[in-house]
Amino acid sequence: MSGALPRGAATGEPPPAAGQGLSLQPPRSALARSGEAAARMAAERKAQPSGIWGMALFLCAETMLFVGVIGSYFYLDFRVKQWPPAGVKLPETLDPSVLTAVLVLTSVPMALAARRARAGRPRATFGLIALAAFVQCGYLAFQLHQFVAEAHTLHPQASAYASAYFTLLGLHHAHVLLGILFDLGLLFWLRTGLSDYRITGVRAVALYWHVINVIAVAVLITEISPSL
Amino acid sequence: MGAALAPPAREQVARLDRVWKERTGLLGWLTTTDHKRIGLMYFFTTLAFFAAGGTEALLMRTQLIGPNQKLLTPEAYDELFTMHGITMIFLVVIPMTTGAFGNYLIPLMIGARDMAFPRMNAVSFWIFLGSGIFLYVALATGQAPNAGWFDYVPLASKQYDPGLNIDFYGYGLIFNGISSTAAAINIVVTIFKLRAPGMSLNRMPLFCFAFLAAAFSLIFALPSLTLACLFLELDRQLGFHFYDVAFGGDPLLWQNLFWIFGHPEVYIIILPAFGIATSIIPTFVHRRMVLFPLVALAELLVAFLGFGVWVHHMFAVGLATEVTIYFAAASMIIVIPSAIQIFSWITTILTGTPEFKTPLLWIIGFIVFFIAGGLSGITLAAIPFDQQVNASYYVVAHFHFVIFGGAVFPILGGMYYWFPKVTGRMYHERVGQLSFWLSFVGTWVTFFPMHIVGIDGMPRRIYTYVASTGWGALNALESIGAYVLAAGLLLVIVNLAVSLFKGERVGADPWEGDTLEWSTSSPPPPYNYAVIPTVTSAYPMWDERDRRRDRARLEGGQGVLARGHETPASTVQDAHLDEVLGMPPYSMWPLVVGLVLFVGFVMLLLAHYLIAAGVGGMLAAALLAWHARQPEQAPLDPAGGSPPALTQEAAP
Amino acid sequence: MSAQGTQRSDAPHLTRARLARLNGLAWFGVLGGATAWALQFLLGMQFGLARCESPDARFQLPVHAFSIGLGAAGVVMGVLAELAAWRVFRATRETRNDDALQLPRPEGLTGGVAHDPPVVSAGRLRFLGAVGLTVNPLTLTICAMTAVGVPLLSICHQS
Repeated sequence: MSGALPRGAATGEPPPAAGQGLSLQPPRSALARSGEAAARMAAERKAQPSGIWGMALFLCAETMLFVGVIGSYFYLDFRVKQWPPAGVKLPETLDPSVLTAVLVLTSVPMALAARRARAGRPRATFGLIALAAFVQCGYLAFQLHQFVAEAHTLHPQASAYASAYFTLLGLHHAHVLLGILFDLGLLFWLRTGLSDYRITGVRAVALYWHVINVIAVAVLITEISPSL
Repeated sequence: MGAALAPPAREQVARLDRVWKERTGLLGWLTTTDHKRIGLMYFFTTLAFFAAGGTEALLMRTQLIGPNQKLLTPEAYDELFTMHGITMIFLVVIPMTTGAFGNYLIPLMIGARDMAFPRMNAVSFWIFLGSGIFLYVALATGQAPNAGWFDYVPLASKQYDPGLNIDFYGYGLIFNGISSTAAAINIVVTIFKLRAPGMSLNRMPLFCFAFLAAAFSLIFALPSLTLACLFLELDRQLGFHFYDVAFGGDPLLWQNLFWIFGHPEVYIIILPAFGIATSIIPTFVHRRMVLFPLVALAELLVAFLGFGVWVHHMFAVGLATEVTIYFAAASMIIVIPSAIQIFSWITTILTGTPEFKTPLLWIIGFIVFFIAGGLSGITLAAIPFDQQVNASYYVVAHFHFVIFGGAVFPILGGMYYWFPKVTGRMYHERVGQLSFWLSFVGTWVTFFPMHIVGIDGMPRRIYTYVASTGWGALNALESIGAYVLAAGLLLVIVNLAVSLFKGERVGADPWEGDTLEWSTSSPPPPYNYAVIPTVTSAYPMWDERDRRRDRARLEGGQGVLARGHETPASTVQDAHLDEVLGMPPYSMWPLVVGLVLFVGFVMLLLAHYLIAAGVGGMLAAALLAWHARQPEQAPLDPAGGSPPALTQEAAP
Repeated sequence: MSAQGTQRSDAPHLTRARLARLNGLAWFGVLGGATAWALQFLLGMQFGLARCESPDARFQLPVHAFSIGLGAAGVVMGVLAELAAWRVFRATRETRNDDALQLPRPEGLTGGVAHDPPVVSAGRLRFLGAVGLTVNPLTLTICAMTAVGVPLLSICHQS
């Protein structure tokens, strides 16, 4: 690295002919409006599309949110002599585990939907997302029912344990709800077929669900940790 | 640039002009997705907040100019120091760096035509504006947050602070955090994906490394603040017990969650300033940056290590040394990457041929302040010393040296440096130098004596003091310094404002800069670059062969990408051209989403939860409509016709 | 600087396969020591909190022993990562930091059809090597400082 002003000091490349060296027919996402064109476009692309990166980074933030709430749960746990406090029933282990397993399994139709989308098959994609969304809605309905019922017996305002317990679950359910809204949005826009943009959307939402499902397992373990 | 081009190329550039034509009028600005316009909106909004925060500071300094002053009541003083901190951190420095400088310059520096997510860029701005208005409504209605910018419980709990003050804080910061998270995601994806072909990671400008580090930190740190505020509001509104000991909670949980965010936040504040400094120095000393890879590393490492030092804000809380030692060790080592950068900057300046123009003066001032502030920082990493000066003016001195001297000075230098690029005119150099000297002297006189009064025992956040403490003389000096500083800052604004209309016109590259933004016109056209540049070194503007090759391609009509609103995307590590992206043009949905969120947060503040839920539904609908228009549905060239032979290589 | 436009700058010993292997080593050199510190920090701090900040000594953990163990592991990883970075730095000694891949020849990446997987850039490797060489001494020093410091403390004394 010399200190002199490096005017005209290029690297050791031969001077190429004008236009050489720049790939001039890169795939144009704008042209990919039908399923097959979009599938071809997706196959040609070497790097992940921007939408996937964007969703991945959003998921980093949401993961940190859960790291924080789970960390806070255990922090409060460590700081007291008895957790849960005296008189509070230990959490159930079977029901929550079964429900979480059901949710985690919806990653399968979502992953398949992403693959069908990449293959340019709109109807299969639509069907698989609809299936996943149906199961996820059922899961959420069950969970919300449990949540409300538990809040009547164990009041969140009773102790730090209750506050942490309900906030942990509440945040998780909110993220499941968000995922269902993503699913519904996709279903809405997929009525008119696939394009490169929509394929990336399907893949991004599938990624969302995979991460949320891993987080669901962590939430489950935290939730039932006093009973373990 | 178009005048000397052959007809095919001229036609292409004309197509670019047509396709990228900006909408005029207010509607154009309200619906814009152009990174330059959004950057300018951020710029002027943050300047307004800077004036507010500065006024708050001057009021406090006036109150403290002598003992037993009666200008402000204690309650008013509490609101002022809280709002000053919140304003300067959340509404000035972060939006100015990530929103104004980052948005305007990153696409230009990497040879792209916009950010990766232009509509999300716009919504970041509207959310930021909404959160700022939200917080200042608090001040305007006499119920501003008043428990300090880090808002410790139990002071901030419902029991001791029952009004809306702290709720403005809690909801306001969650609201503001959405803007910063979105902006950070945009910055990372833009830098990863939209770099010009040939700009592999090791050829990226150091400015981009700094912004990448700051953006990653924002993404990983903000959730902790969001959670802290969520728990706070749950405690306050719904009677939960995260933070109260009587029910098994812990006030230290707030401190931990806050500082897990708060420490990375201060690196988020300083990193873009490092980026600005590393852009200005090579240009004005006509020399490449010494130890380029290590400077890049240092920027990323400071951000990374910054996640492991937060308890150094809690050394006086009574934690066991088995816990605090990890943080003390990391707090000492984190000085080293900063020192590497300082060494590199100083060596680059000393071994180059410096031209002491205004931007470089601000950077030299920054280096001086950053060294001084860094030294007081190392002393604070030593637990026994920290416990002596905790919550005294020594700490206030330290962070003002590093935040004001360290972050704001490069921002001001950057304003001067890029003023010609953004406006096409040059500022007045002599007035610029005067504005620097006034600010430099003012900053020293204001903040240096604070070290002394701090060690002498003066606590922070006191609204007055008695004469027998003997702090009066130095406080008076500090207040005078503040007025001098204010004069310097005003002079900066006046200089730039007048030069906007009367400054001498300049061309694309008045400074002989090293990065790509200097290759396009001043101000840049809406599409930034007529031809997509290719890059073979980390100093693209100093590679004349590359720039001649760009021009040859433009003349041959290759790489112009004039079919629609297009920009190229490359692979992440080695920047191979990968695809051509369509960019969305105008959209009203970002503004709609910003408004809806604002209403939602107001409803939360007023505890109208059902209405807030309804607003959430509206938000979902708005986001659905947003995605109706796919980015590739940018209007193609209205003149129609098939594009000329873009896709044929010229005969070698 | 050689005027030859080969794909690997001036270092013919850097074959495509070697560059690909060096890529993995280079990233280990950059991330290995830092990751080790992160884990040492997270685990060590948690153990400290559990042992010393819980009431009634609820968790009787040998915190001092753990600190030494974690710190030692951090130092070892830092040394290994440093060696990896050194290896990469030495292998790319004839390359400049800001070299990237030469822009591909016409028969390489064209027209959006299936193309060769990109060759790793020697300049980028040198860059990563320099970075790794600098990061690891710093992170292993933090690990060493805590491993040495913690055992000197009386147990759970407030600082």
